[in-house]
Amino acid sequence: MFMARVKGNVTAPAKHPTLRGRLLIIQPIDPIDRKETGIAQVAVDTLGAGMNSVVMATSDGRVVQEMLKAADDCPARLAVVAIVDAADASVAPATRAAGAK
Amino acid sequence: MIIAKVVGKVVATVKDAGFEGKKLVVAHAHVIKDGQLVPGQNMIIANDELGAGEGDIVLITQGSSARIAPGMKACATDAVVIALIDRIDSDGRPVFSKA
Repeated sequence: MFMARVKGNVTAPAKHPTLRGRLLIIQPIDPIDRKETGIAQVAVDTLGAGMNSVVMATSDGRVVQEMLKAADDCPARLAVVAIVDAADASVAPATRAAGAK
Repeated sequence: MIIAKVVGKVVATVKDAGFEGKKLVVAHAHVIKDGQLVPGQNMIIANDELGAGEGDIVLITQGSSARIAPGMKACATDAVVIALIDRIDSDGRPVFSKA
């Protein structure tokens, strides 16, 4: 799973019938320093996450199908599975340049 | 599967039912480069039932196979800690060994 901030929502009157939950725009963020990482994506939300709230998302397609009770014909792949209260790190992450010495 | 260092934890009250009573850790992916275990780019959140402590080096499986780990069938997870790593060797040399 990854952590993200809710940035907006998507309304689509014409959409795949299984997309019953709300569609939110979520911006992946670093769980510790909350900096934006990666590109914003659209996720299905059945928990009612509010604007700017910090959520945890899963990218497992089977999960979204189960959340939307949509057997196996649901094309969605990203879903909000938790609204995060707190995330902390007692171990400061080392410098993060890929393959830094 | 990836090697990662557990660096923190996540607390969430409002969550998908399958996460009830499940521990969530923040893990920093690590890579082996020039015979050394060095930090990578990604931070991921994973379920942990093995009691990984912060600072531990662990093995994480991702995707739908994560739910095959014990106790994860009903949990909407895509990343689970499946091993606490004691030692890693690469090219015949130790890269990591638990103190």
